[in-house]
Amino acid sequence: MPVSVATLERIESFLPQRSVPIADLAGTLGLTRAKVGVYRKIFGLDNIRFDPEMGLFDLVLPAARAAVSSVDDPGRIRQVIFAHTIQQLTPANIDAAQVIRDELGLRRADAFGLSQQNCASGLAAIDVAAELLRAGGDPDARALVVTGERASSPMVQLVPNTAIMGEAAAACVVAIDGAGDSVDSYVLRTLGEFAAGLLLDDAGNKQFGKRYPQVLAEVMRSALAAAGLAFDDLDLVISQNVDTSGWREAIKELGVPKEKLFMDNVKHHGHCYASDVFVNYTALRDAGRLVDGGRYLLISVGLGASFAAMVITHHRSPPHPAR
Amino acid sequence: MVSITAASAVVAPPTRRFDHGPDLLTWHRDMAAPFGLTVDEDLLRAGRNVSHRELLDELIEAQDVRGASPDLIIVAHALPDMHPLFVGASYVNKLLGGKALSFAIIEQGLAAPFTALRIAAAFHASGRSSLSMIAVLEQTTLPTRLPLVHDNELVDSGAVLLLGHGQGMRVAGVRTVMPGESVRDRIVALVGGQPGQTLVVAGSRVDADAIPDGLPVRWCDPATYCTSVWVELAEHRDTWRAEYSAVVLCDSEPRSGRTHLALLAGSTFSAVPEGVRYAGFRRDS
Repeated sequence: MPVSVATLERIESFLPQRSVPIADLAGTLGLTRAKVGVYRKIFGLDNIRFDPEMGLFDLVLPAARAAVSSVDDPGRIRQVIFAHTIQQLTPANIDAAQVIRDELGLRRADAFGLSQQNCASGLAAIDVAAELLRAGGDPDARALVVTGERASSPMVQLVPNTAIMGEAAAACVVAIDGAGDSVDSYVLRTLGEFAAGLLLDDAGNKQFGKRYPQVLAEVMRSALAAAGLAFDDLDLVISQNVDTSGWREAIKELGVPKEKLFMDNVKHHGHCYASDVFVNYTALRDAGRLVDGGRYLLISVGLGASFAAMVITHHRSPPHPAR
Repeated sequence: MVSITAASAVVAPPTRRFDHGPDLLTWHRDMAAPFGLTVDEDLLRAGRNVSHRELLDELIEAQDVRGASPDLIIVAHALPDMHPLFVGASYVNKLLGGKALSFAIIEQGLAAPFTALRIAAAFHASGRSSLSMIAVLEQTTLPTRLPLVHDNELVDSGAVLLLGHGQGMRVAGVRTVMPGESVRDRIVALVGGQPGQTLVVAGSRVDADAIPDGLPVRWCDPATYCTSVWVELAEHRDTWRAEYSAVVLCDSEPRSGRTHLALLAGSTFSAVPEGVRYAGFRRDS
């Protein structure tokens, strides 16, 4: 019996209009002018999208609404999965996933949040959605994965020596054997010794930095092998907007040529929690840079620490794909 | 069909010291302010300050669970941890072999562990998991007042279930009953022709009228919320397995009005109703 394939029928993204030079955040984040220079010159950051006046749901809902509108009958959406990096985005009296589901008018869908893979949670949510859809056995059923969160406090906006976080949101309609991009493989590796995440001490951070390139390279290799591909078969690596020495080392170790990496948005958006891999996908798609039948490797690393890689094959789909 | 092979529970572990640093308090304030709430530091100081990490430490030290090496770990909770940046799922993953896919299911109230059960069953059904762990956690120290917690005197609690292919009650169905639909009818439909041999384990917020006549009921401690039926299951599963052919876990989420059901079938439970997809998410509506 052939294995049913998870498909990404529609991916949408949203960025706040307001673009802020990282130098303007130096005071809030406690960065010296020299340190800002490091983030610009070494890590490639320049501006981030950041709007303190925008509420969480104002940020998250536009992409989700656009994704839902691509489904001919939204009643087919059985799950709404809100995947995010910071484990708590609202006070305990508000369940964000339920609000998103209700605002989208999907009142009969199950809605839940998925976290604890930090910035890799978006890819994990696609994997979980696909398993639930397979188990449900209804070929018409769809799941909606939603990402997006605010850089609400200095503690969660600065990842020391890595990134200054920007704001973005995305949404993805998942199906089984549907139209759209096929998920050819998904590989995750978790290093629980770094579970403290942003709260790691200096020694822990140093150790994490040491393991990062090797583990990331292994996960990328494994994802390609599981899809039956070599790096030469890939059209592009679509990563999150992090350009650290660890990332560069991993790429060097794998021998991936620079032209196969999409890093254009590091400078303009910064790292946007669990959303930037999807934001980068839509930027490429909307610019006509995704090839029909092309193979793409999506990469997300979450502090805590989860390394995720997903190989997809792009299939151009009609504006309102029918199964 | 996946079975519950081991379990552990913890209820009201010793109170810990308040240890929120200024950065964490600032984060709480920045997170709550856009929603019109103010952080009450006294609530934090007066809380029991038991973190998810401490609950996990105790749960996985239990004899039945210690040394397990699951390939899937799902943490489920309704109330957030005190430490929003500590990744409990990764932490316990490392302690239990470091080979698991691990994540948390949240923002669904007490439905989160039912969803975790669906996910675990789905991974077993597709062959991607042979031993999974669900950790249901509830810590009650919050920076803003929440009547559900503070008016009900909830205690800290947790339960761990291991799910595999060994001896134990089988996960035979997970259902959601929407507001306005009959919980009673859905339970009857789930247990089929053997109601007399079925135990209903009901959370304290379940309407008593929802329990079909003639079925024995075990009511859960009202001092637990998301963990209620799971703590009872972890503590009594061996007895129930010997005494009943099936157990229905039933709990009602006060915020959504939805009721959640899980059917656990013993070895003598033969009448799994037609149409039950144990990993499915359909609602029979």
